[in-house]
Amino acid sequence: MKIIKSIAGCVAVGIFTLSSCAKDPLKNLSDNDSRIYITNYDSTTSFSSFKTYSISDSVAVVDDGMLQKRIATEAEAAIIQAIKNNMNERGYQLVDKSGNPDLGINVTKIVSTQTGLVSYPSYWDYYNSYWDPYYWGYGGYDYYFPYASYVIYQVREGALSVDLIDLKDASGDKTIKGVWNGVIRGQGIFNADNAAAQVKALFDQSAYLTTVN
Amino acid sequence: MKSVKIILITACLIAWASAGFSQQGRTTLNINYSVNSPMGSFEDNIVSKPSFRGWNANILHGIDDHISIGLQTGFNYYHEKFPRQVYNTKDGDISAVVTNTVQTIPLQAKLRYNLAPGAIVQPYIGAGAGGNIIMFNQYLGGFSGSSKSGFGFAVSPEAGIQIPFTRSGSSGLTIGAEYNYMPFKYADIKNLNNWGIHAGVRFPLSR
Repeated sequence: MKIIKSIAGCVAVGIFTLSSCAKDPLKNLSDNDSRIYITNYDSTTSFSSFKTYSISDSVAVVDDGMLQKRIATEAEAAIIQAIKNNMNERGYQLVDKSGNPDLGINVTKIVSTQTGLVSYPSYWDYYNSYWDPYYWGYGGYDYYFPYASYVIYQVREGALSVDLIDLKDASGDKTIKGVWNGVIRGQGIFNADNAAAQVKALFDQSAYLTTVN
Repeated sequence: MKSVKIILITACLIAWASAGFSQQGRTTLNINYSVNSPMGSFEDNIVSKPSFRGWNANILHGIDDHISIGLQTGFNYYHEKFPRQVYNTKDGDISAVVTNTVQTIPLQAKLRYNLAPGAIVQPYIGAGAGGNIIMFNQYLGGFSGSSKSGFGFAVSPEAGIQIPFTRSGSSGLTIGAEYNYMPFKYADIKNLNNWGIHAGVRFPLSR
């Protein structure tokens, strides 16, 4: 009986000790290392068929699922400028939104304090209505992404989302198709100093995004 | 002079051996610090670095002077952070610093065979077999990517030596090595096979 008690005691102490041996795997992760860059695209789209684009001059802020405002502070301006630089480098020409752009670019800052699972395209079911097609002169159109991403993430610090939507082919069936979507998540993503490098990362991993085939 | 030393050592060995060693009927607890190194697809696809956060412990009861049986448990934490890389996904790409972590907690029945009961240095061989609690986590940057916990099978053959502190031989040092066969199927993972070395102490729980 004494032995059984000793054994039970040792097992209990052992199992208790187990939990203290694992370290926090993300403890020493730098802000830069914490950031992830996700891009998805419609593989049926030929990106060289687009020549011109227009980009919103402000960033939509979605906070806990609600559109709060559209802002154009230094950080947002830096992101928009970085997108323009990369689009221009890939051969696309910036035009005014009244100049019949082939592509429209929406930038959304998603601030979320909730922890929950967000997946694509359910992510877009949730947020796309905040980018009303009226902005692009297409009242009454649906805005959708034809592809599904495979990853489900836990939302912690929020996200910065860049969408390319196909305005060139929008008039056909009352829908606007999203053809490319870049999402940045992690620490420091809303910092103006990081804007250029972050946007470049999205474009670097999307070599197909070019007017040249 | 040299021959005197040999005689003295031999005399000591005989004295030690004739001291009436017996593990029969005794229960001992053996606690070891262990360092384990991933092998095969575990090493290639998940974590390539050894685990320096590990231990194992067993409680063995002597059936006779050679054979003891009992239970063994342990813990190993494997961890590796990979530099930023772009990973292809369906219709897209993800750039991330990937961190993989694996925790294994085997719970096994154990048999150990003492090859030289009563000697100063007692080699042994043994094996454990049973279950294995496994926790796998993959982080993409600061985000939880995928995780999988499960209970698998584990077999752990081992060999080592024990060096008793006292002539009665119930307590002492242990040094050994083991191979852990740990099947675990998830995504690209086939198993968590590893080998390890351990060192520790054993002491009696009963007289």
